[in-house]
Amino acid sequence: MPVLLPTDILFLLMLLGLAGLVVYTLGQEHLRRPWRSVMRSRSAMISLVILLIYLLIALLDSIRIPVSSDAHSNSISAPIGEPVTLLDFGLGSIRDAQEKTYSAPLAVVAHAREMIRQPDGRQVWVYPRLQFGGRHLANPEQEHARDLIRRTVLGLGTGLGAWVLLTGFLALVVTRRHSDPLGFLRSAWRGETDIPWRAVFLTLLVISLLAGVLVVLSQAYHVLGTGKVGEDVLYQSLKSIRTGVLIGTLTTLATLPLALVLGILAGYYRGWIDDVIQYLYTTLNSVPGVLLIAAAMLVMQSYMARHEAEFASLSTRADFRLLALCLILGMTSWTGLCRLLRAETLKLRELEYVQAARVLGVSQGMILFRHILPNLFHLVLISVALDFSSLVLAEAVLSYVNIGVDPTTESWGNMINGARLEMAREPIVWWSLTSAFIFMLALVLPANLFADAVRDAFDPRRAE
Amino acid sequence: MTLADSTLKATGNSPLLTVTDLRVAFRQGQDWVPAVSGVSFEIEKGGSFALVGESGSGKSVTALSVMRLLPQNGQLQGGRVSLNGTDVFGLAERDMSSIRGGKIGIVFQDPMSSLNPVLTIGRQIGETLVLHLGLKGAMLRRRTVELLDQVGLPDPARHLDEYPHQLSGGMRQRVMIALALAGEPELLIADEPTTALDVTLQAQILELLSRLRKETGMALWLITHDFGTVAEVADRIAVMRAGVLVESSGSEFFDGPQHPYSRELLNAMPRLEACLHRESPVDAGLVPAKPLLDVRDFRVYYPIRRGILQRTVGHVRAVDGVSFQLKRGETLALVGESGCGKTTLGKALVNLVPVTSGEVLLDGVKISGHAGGARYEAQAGFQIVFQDPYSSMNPRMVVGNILEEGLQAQRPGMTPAERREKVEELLIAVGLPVSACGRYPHEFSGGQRQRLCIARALAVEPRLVICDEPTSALDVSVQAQVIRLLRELQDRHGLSYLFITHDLAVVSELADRVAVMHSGRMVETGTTRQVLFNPENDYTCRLLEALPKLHKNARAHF
Amino acid sequence: MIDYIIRRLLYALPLLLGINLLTFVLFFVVNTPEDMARMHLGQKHVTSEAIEKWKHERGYDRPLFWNGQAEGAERVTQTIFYQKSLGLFLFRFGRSDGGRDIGADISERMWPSLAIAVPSLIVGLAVHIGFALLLVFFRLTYLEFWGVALCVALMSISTLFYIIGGQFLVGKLLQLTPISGYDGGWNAVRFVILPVLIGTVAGLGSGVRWYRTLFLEEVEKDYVRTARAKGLSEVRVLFFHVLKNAMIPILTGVVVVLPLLFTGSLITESFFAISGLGSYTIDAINQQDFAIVRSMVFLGSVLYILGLLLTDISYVLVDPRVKLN
Repeated sequence: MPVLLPTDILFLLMLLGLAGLVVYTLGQEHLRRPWRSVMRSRSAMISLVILLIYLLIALLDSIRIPVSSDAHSNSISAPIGEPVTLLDFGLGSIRDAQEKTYSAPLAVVAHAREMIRQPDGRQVWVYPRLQFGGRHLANPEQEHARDLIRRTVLGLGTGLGAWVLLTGFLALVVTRRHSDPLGFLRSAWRGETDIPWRAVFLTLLVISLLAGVLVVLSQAYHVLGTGKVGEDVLYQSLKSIRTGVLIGTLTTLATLPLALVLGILAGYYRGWIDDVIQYLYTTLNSVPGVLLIAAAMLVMQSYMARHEAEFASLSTRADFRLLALCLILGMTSWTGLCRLLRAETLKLRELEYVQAARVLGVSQGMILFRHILPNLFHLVLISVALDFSSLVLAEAVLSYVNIGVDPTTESWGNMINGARLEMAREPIVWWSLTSAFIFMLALVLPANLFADAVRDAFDPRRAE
Repeated sequence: MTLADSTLKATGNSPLLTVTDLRVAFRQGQDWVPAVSGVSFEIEKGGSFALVGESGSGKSVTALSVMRLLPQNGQLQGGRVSLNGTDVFGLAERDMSSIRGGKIGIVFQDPMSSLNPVLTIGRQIGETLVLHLGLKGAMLRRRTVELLDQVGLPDPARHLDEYPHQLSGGMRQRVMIALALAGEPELLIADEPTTALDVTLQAQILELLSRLRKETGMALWLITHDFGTVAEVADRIAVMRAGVLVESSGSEFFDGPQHPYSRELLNAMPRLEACLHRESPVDAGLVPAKPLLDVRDFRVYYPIRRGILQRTVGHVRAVDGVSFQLKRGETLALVGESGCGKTTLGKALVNLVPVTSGEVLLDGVKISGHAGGARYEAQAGFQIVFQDPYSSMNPRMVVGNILEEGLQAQRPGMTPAERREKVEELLIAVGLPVSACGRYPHEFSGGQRQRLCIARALAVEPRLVICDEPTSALDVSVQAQVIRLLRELQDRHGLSYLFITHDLAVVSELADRVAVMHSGRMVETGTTRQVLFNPENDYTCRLLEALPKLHKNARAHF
Repeated sequence: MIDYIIRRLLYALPLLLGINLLTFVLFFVVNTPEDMARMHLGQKHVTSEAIEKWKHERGYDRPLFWNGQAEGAERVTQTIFYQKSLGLFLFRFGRSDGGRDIGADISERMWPSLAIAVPSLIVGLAVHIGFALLLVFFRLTYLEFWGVALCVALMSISTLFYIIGGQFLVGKLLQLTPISGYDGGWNAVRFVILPVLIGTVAGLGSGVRWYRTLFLEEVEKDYVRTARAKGLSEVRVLFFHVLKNAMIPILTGVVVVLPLLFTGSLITESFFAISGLGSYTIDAINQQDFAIVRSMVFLGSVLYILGLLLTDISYVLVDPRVKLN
């Protein structure tokens, strides 16, 4: 039976909730329309594909499988008792491939010279061979380039094969109900369909090819190099995905209820309730964000210190810290959405159909539920979409200030933190930073583009 | 050829503006929706031309096209516009600068939003003077004051340094006209210049436009949906519908238009003398003696707060001691200009606005002064229909649910099937198909939506329906249909209406009795015939005086 | 107008009190002085005497709110709340957990913060607004499309990358300016250029987008149509009519952040080794110096409230619709 950490449970619940929400919106006509216009945007669909892949990786990384102490041949080594995720299982080969210290991407030797004692007793100042990277090469100077090319081609082939299978499956699903599947596929190829399937398939192609190359190359090399203690940078980056995605999504769990309830109450009932809530969020807002988070994290740290017994294992500690960070971020950032919801509710309550409902004798509760709430949905959606990227970015900054995630948790913030000093080294170590940069950009940019498309589609002023 | 050259070629007797086969379309998503499909007309120098049509007919678009001021998603798709012999569409954008404001001036509908809120009046007018006439310094200031004086703005020098929001609605429209005149144009386009104004102001602005035309010799092109306005001002009339002109003639138009659509429009216009031809149950003595609604000394005051501690220093008396009665089966019209308190009164009766004091009795039962739940119950006899059909229904609910909402709230005992049956009955009663149940409000036109709102109000079987300007936002032909519907429903179900409006002609079509409001007080009440044709109060007389010629003629004949 | 200002000031008082209380609760109630002592002295092998000594040195050995053992007024005054929190109102920051005078440190370190923040604001404003206006001017052309796409891309990159990348590129590769550090007086210019440049570029994406949205909203309005109908050129319409109206929300948006310039950007100062209030705060967080963090929290809050107040006042001053009512 899989072992689940609290953040895993919450994340899975969130995904279920999200899926449920999507099903719900598909059933509502007034929500289907904007979604259709989002789906028609090429940039939105490409972004969606990329986001779904990140989500999938995060999901895989959230399902843990127990590790028996007597590990069998497919050795997934881990400290005793630490659960291992599906992603780790998949990345098994590079997870175990520890080096001693830095090494460049695709390198065969370490980054810095060392004193090596030769078998004949002499000590030479050379670049030591890596334990994992390129260990199968007997004669690196000659074989290295050829080996790389061979593997790249193999990787491209594998990727292409995977893509063919994937698109075949997708095409079957999509054209299931079509009367003329071939015709549909042909028009999709020409880019003439309503939903930009061609863009989607092309994106999948690029990603499959990339993934294929990465997978094949990583069997024998550290594709993105290794870091300070020899851990594979690609592995780090992939594991960091979960952290980033979780922070972007779990935080909304804390933000939404507070912002929704308080915003609506303030806007609808006005009077003293409004005054109190405004007072509350102005006070909270005035404390500088970073400081509030810092203070809260310090509090949490001392809580953990006091209850040491509960936080025995490394993973529980790190996980709790991640959870606390999400909750704290959520509780310090609900004010923005609350203010928006309050302003909108103030406007809505003066609308004629709300007034008509009052005259018809509809109860306050029903009015809130039927008239106010559905009309706030778009604001919530836009806010959640926009916040996702800023939260992912915020994590990096917070980790830098040491009030982010635990240093043992894999996160891009931690990678940048460590990489910062590496830039000053001679010779320069650039791959950790670059890797974090690329992976972050590849998540945040599509998230922003998708959020833009969502906003354009759901903003009632532009839509109608 | 350049603008200068082409102007030299213009000869004396040719028309000022010639529009030939104008075509304009707007982009909506992927398609081009045509707005103007081949319109041709001429305006003589110094002539006055009216382009009449209902909303969506394309009349405003025509005007904007002539000045090449179409919005981003609009496109000129064909046709020719010739101003004094110059081909306007052939000019470079740079050259349009001298035409806009210099040769053609335009006055828009809503002066509040059409004026720049952060620039002073003097500055805004001055801009045109500087651009087109090259004035500077003292000359500039003097000319600005002259212009403001010409448009009838009292004490013009004082207003030069004021901002638009400091002026009243009528004054702002005068400023807009001054703005358009500043460049000394040969043609003045007025796009619905009086629609947003009260009836007394309407008359003044129309008179101003006529006077200016005579004084300056410029041509006037009036765009409107209101025939009353047209009759006052225009020599030539063209009727537009769905992007094409259906008729074009002179002032003989009002004696008998040629095209069936024009006839339909003209007939649909509410007539002031309608009440003379109607049988009113009041006159026939068919109404019971005991009143349905008895309102005594009703007051709605809003506090004015000043000072550090926001103390109440006084009150805005929106409704200042109003008393009246309404009998069962009767329609009482509440008329007045904007700000007189009629809407506040209507809303206060249904508790949408807090009541300061006063008694309200419905069928002899006191319903004022209760709080919370008791008030709801007592109030169940009232319903309200609002003015704007577009915001009166929740766009995210289907019609069926909208109509049954009241039933769900007030008749919890009904089963869904019973409710459904009732909703279908209502739809038929207002003349809409039963299939409307599953559709969304945006799928219906303005007039149809208003019918749905009426159906919604009727669902809970009220005794009194308050109609707050229900037809003001509708086209004239649709207006007639809705009025007819209201009358039918009243006859069939014995409903009583409190009909709030500013349009005296509509009053004549529908109301049995009229109450005139001014500054929160009722200044005159009586039967429709009495008030419209034999008014006693000065204010009422002024209101009637301000009516356009078309209506006044009716009175004269009486 | 004066009435309005006074009323807003009065409203600020309960806010400040609330902040004070919130800060106090955060720092002392949830995390008792006991815990703080333990954190500083290490977790495991600490004697209770050492704890008491640590607490006594810093004045944390009194009760939180109410001192039952004291007499009369001292019941209230000999509490942590009175001594530590209320003192903040008088800007009596006291001593840091390390022993330094916080007040003196603050007044010394705020100048470098300002030296970075003020030029950043001005340059940033000018550049972002300029670009935004350009994008609006070229509306619905390819230039605008790619401009907006560039903005989205730029704002998807974390500030940290800009700083690190900028330091590397300009400082190390091109060697144009020093990478970090600070010097007083006019020498500061050398050290300020890079942070200001990086700050402007880092904020370019989101800044240009924000201002562009503001301008686009204005451009849709009716008075713009009137201005064009008067025959004015597009340039004048945009740069005069639209800009003048858009300046109101822009200005009020700027005023709100003015007071916060004092506290500086935490990240920038840290990366560029500027000894301003931002790095002061970061160091304090890292060293878990509660006294400093507390003071900075309060200071930041006060400045924020001040910013809100200034915004309200500036609205009254700048928007004629509000001014003359």
